[in-house]
Formats: sequence, C-alpha cells, structure tokens
Amino acid sequence: MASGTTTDESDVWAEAYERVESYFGAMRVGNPLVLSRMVSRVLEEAEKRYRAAGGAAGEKTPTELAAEEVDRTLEAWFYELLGDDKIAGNFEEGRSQLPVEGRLALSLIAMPQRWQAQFLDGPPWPEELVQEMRDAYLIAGPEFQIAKMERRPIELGPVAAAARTWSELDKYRRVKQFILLLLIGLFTWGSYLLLT
Amino acid sequence: MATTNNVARMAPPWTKQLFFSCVVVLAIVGVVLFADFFWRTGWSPLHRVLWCLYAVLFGYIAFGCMHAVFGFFRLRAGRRAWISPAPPETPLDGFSTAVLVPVYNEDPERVFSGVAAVYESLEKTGKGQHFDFFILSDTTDPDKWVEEERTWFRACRNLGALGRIFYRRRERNEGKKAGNVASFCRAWGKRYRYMIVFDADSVMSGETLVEMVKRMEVNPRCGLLQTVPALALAETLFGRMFQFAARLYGPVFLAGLDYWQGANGNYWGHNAIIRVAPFMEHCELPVLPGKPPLGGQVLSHDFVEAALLRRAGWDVWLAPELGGSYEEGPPDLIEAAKRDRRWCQGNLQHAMLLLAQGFRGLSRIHLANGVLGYVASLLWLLFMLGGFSAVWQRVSSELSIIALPSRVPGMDGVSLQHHGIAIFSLTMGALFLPKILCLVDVILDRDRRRTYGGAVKVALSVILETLFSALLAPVLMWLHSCFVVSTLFGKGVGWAPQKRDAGQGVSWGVAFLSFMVPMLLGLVWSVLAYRVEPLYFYWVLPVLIGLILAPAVCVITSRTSWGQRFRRAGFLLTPEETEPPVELLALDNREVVERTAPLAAPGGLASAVLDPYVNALHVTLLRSHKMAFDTEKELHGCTASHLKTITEKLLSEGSGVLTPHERMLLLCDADTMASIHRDVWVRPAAKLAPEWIKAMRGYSRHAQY
Repeated sequence: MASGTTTDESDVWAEAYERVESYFGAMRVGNPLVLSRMVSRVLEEAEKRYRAAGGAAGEKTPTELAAEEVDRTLEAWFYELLGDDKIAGNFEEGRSQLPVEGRLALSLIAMPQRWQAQFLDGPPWPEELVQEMRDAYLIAGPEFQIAKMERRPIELGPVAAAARTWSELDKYRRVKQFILLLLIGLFTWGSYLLLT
Repeated sequence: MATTNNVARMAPPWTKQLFFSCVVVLAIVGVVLFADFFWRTGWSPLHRVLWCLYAVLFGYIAFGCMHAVFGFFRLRAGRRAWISPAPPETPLDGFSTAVLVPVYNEDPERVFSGVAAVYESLEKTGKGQHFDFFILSDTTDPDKWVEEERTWFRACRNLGALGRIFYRRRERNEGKKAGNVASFCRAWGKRYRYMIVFDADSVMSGETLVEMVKRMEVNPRCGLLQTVPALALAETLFGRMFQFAARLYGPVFLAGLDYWQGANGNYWGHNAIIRVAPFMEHCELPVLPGKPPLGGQVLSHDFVEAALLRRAGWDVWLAPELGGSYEEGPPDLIEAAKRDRRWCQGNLQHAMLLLAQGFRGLSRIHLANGVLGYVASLLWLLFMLGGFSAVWQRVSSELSIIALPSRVPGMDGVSLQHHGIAIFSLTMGALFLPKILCLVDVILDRDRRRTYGGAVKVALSVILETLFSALLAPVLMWLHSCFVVSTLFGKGVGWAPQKRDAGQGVSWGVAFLSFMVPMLLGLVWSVLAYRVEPLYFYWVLPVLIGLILAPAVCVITSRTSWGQRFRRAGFLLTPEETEPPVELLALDNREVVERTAPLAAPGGLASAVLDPYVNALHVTLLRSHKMAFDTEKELHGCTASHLKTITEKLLSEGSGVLTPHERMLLLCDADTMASIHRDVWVRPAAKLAPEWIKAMRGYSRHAQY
C-alpha cells in the first residue's frame, strides 16, 4: 500500500495501518492471514480516496479515511449479507442501525471463533452463516405484562401513631425541643438517683 | 393449581404453647434467683434497674436456649420438618418460575459465575425449561453497569441461554431491593406462578429449585417457603469461624424454630420461593410514618412481607432440611459490622409494626426478635455498666454485706458467693448448652461427624469457635449499642454493596481507627475495675479482653492465610469444604477461569466506547429499554448540547475527567453511544486522549471475548 509515499506520509499511513489493525483486533480477528487481507483491502480503498481528495492537501488524514473505510466496508458487508428483507424485518429502522445490529449479530454467532475466514468476504457465503446472521437477535427480557401492586391499607398501631405525632410536631419545633429536654432531664435525674 | 393433597403437617397448637412455657419456666428460674440475690443483700433503685435488665436479657437467652433444646430432641427423635418433600411425580407443566437475582454494584464476574452454576445444575435436572432467570440490576456505578451487560451476554452465549437468562437494569432504584423485586412483579409478575428470590451471592442446586416448586404445588396454601442457606466459600479466619458456627449450630436451632413456628414462618430475604399472585396482592410494603432512619421506606422488607402474607392467611414455611442452598458471609469484622449496621436500622424500624393490626401473634414475635437482636446489646452494655456502678457503690460505702436467708426453696444455707456463682452458672449454662447440644448432635451422627472432620476435630473446633465468640461478643455488644443509639438519634445508613471477597484483609491502621473507642473503653474500664474491686475485675476480664483486643482480633481474623492454616489443620471444617457440592465447585472453577482470562480491552465505560461488540450490546439494550433511559436522562436534566460537550471531553481529555454523573449520562443515550464508537476510531491520534491510543493498541490479535 501507499507505494511512493514520502517519509511524513509514511508516518501517517503507519498510524492508519495501526488503527485499522487495532479495530479488527477489537473485533477479535486473530487469524494473521485474514487480518492482513482485510487491513490491506481497507487501506487500498482509503489510499484511493486520499489521492482523490488531493493527498496531504485534503481535509482528512489517512487515519480518518481508513477508519471510515472500515465502517463502510462493514456496513456494506452487513447490507449485502443480510439483504433488504432482513433490514426491513428484524433489524430496526433500516440501514442506520445496521452497524450496531450487525456487530451484535457477529457477536451472537461467535464470528471470531466460527466464521473468521468468511468475515468481510464476498459471496457466496455458507448458508449456515447467512441463516445465523439473519436469525441473530437479542432478548434482554420477555414481553412486559404490566400489573399493579397496590398497597393494602394497614393500621400500624400506637407505636407508629406516636411516631407520626412526633414527626408532625416538626411544625412546633419549640414544643419538640422542650419535650426532648424534659426527657433528657428525667433520664439524668433518674441516673443520678440510681447512682447515689 | 395442583390438585394434589397438601403434604405439610399443620403444627398442633400445643407445640408453641409447650415451647413458650419452657422458655418462661427457664426465664423465671433465672429471674427469681437474681431477685433472691437482691432480697438477700437489699434492694436499691439501681438493683431494680439491674433486675429488670436481667429479666429481659435472660428471657432472651432462655428463648435461644430452648430452640436448641427442642431442636436437639426433635432431631434425635428423627422427627421431620412440618413441610415434607413433595411426591417426585408432582408435575411442573403449565406454569413457569422466575429466578430473581437482584444486584447492586456487585462484582459481575461473581454474580454471573453463580448464575451459571445454578443454571447448569438446573439443566441437569431436565426441568430447566420451567425456569427463567432475571438479573435485576440496580447498579449505579457506570463501569459496573457495562461490565454486567458484558458478563451477562457472555454467560448467555456460553450457556446457550439467550431468552432464558434476562437482564434488566432499573433507571431509578426506588425501594432498594424490595422495590427492585416489586418492579419485576409489576412488569412480568403475571407471567409467573412462583418466583425464587436470590441474593447476589446465592447459589442453589437445581434439585433444590425443582423441589421447592413441587412443594409449593402440593401445598396450595403456602405463600412462601424459605430454605436455609448454608454459608460457604469463606477463606478468612473470621469468615470460616462464622461459617462453621452457622453450619454446625444451624440445624439444631432451626429444627427448634420450625417446631414452634410451623406455618407462621419468616422470610429472610433470599433463597426462598414465593407465590407471586398473593405476594403482589398483599405485600406492597407500607411507608412508615416519620422521617428516616426509623420512618419512611421499610429497609428490612423480608420480615414484613412474611407478616403481610400471614395476615392475608397464606402459610409461610421453613424447610430446614432442604439442602442445596448456599450464600456467602462477610469476610471480616468490619464488613460484618457494616452489614449489621444496615440490618440494625431495618430491624429497629420493625418496632413500628409490632402492634400493627391484623398481624399474627407469631409474626409479632419474629419482628420483636429482630428488634431485640440489636437492642439486647445495648441492654447488655447498660447491665454491665450498672453492675460496675453497683460494685462501686458498695465498695465506696465501706459497709459489709449481711446476707439474709434465701427465699428460694432449696437455696437455704447457700452462701452469697455461691448464690452468685449459681446465677452465673445458670446464665452461662443457658448460653453454652446449645453449643454442647449441637456438638453432641453432630458427634452422634456418623455421616455428619465425618463431614466436620471427625469427633475430635469438631469438638476442638467448637472450643475454638467458642473462644472466638467470647472475644468477639464484647466488641459486637459495643458496635450494636452504637448502631442502636445512632439510629434512635436519627443517623441513617446508605445503601452500600456488600463486600464478599477476602481481599488483602484489614490493615492495622484501619482496625485501630475502627476499634479505638472500644479499646480505650476496655482499658479505662480495666483500670477502674481493678482499683475499685480486684475480684470484680477478674469476673469481667473476658469482656475487657474482648474490648481491648478488638483491633488485633479484627486484623488477624481477616487474614486468608490464617483461615487456610486452620483449614489445612482440619479445624472449622464444614460439609461444603469436605465434600463440596458440584454447584460450588463449578462456581469456584468458573470464577478462576473468568478472572484469569486475558483481558481484551479496558473495562467499563471505555469498553462500551471502544469495543465493537460491547458497544453494540450496550446500544441494543438501551434501545430495548428506550423509555426507561429517556426518563433517566430527563431526571438528570440532560440536553443534546450537554451530551456533545461531555463526548468531546471524553474523547479529547479521557474518561478520567468525567464525573460519575457525566459517565452515566453518556451511557444512558443510545445514539450518543453509537456515534461515539465511530468517532473514537475515526479521530486522528492527535485529537484523542492518550488513554484511547493506549487502549486501541491493547487489542491484541489473540484477544479473548
């Protein structure tokens, strides 16, 4: 890739290379052959766009272009693999949700363990892969069956009534303070009587 | 509902009459002996107070002692619990049971390892299809939230359990655990006939889960069936002591408890099965009058829910003999104290409900028992201080005691000293008899004896545990007294997750800071006691030693090394250690595997941003609960421009600069989380915080997922 680039350019392309490789690493693509095939494919496309946009004079760096290319490649692959009916069906709201739902589907079908060689590859795909990707969906909880839990009336009795009264005395802070002082006084007096 | 016959034998009314008569008789003996002591020496106002305190405290001891006595004879006579095993052919068709695992900022690896162990065990019974699992998260820590999702997904995928193990996070954790369960009931309760409530650390065998459902099916009046979770997996000396005591003494005490309570049982908050419909109909908790900590929401919901079910006429049973039910205990004294602090506040609230209309008498006894469990410590402290004052008064008066003859038959001619020894012996006897009975019960049973390491080892372990309890009792008395007083003075406690793993143990600094006050109290008390009356000093020395050595006891018993040393020597063994059940073995192995697996990426928020799969999972779950998280954002007063600012901060300055609140806001917005994943990967390195570059490089080619 990027043959004939200058030293400065080769630094930025190295960053782009590292970014793309990291992303596929994050997708758990561990097979070196598959990985290098994907990385070079993405970088070639990114380089084409880079040159078309005027090279170093363009608005975007190779890293940005390469990362965008990863995104585009993934989305296109999901679209191609899953087809319109899938996107209109289980996958919500069409193509805008596709990257998220596609990544989740890859995770659900355990792509890194089972389908690495086919990942981002062109058709024809194994029927099982297509079917599993189309069937993949996530259930976080069953359908709600909303019901009510209503508090039954309960008379809590004298202790709670006393507590309620005490809390209602908040309006009369002086009275409350006086009662508290009285109780403390009584306790102190009682203790004194006991100990002497 | 099943039409099979009810297999629970109703406890005859005379069982509770007999039990409580025995409690009263034993209490009267102690109380009369104590009163007689004062009759002989002369009553003073302080003596009256001391006698009242002793009457309450000895009554409480007698209550505990009789549990062991009745339990011992019941087990020795081979009597079975009131609720019996269900016929094996009991069908489970036509309804489902939900297994609820409420979590709150827990370690996700531990939670899901436990769930996986239970799930696999249930699958082996062939009845797994009748159960659904719900992880009900109230987690407020943003990083743990993401980890929970990730671990849930991994567990589901590995077990092939998507659509069987569900995950739901609540946006607002109103009502804490009780509110979490109630929220489940409102959303899904109508789909299930039963729910089995777990704690975050609960493990149960599949056989037990199936048996619980069957027992509910054949007992249509049973609203709740509580199993007895055995403490397991302790590693520290403290944890192993606790575990050993609960495991060895539990069966005898619980046989006694089951004897008198019958269908008037209690709920302990987890490892229990509940009939959902009556629970939803009758168990919405009342709001207590007044302000927290004593008013407001009921904290210890379990006792109240059992009382409400009983009030509505539903039976609440204990299944003491049903094994396969486990939980973990606190690893050290400080964690135990933190837990007790919460429980203390919750139990003191129950005082408000003691006289609530419609509650059954035995429900009131359960509530009162919970209150007294903590208040008794304060009463003991007052009793000890009162006793010291009485000695001080007598010594400072310089009057010699002229003892009058005893009024109690059979005590004629007994010296005052011997009279005191008789009271002391009776009290100690009532305290230690249960331990002896439990030990004898194990020794007489060859199979059980073997699982505790043999007769000699179990006997030595009981001595060790008794010494440990004696050292621990004074500091617990102090702590519980402080908890009661601080709660009564309006100091509440927050909702903190429970620490269950041993970690590095408690440091000396932390122990001294935590127990400085009881240690100083012990030192001052020792000096004063010795100066006032050396004989009294020797009498109270065990209490004083416990107070003075509290920091040392805390540190030493928090060490895993000491726990393992005793284990290797064959002390404090429990059946779960000598013959580990498959569920606990599976849990242990799974935890080791998950924790030692190479980490593919940073955890928490960073992984939800960077990791393509974690991000996809998080965004999808957010979208499936869109309404809930929109509410959450509204609650936090979040706008689009605010989110944009936070996102920019996150990418350019790193996650460390965000407050937990800001992290939560980001995590609650599906669109932001979807776009942030793209943004972080597309941005050139110069515009990204170094942590992102480092994290990207961290994804190796052999990353595990």
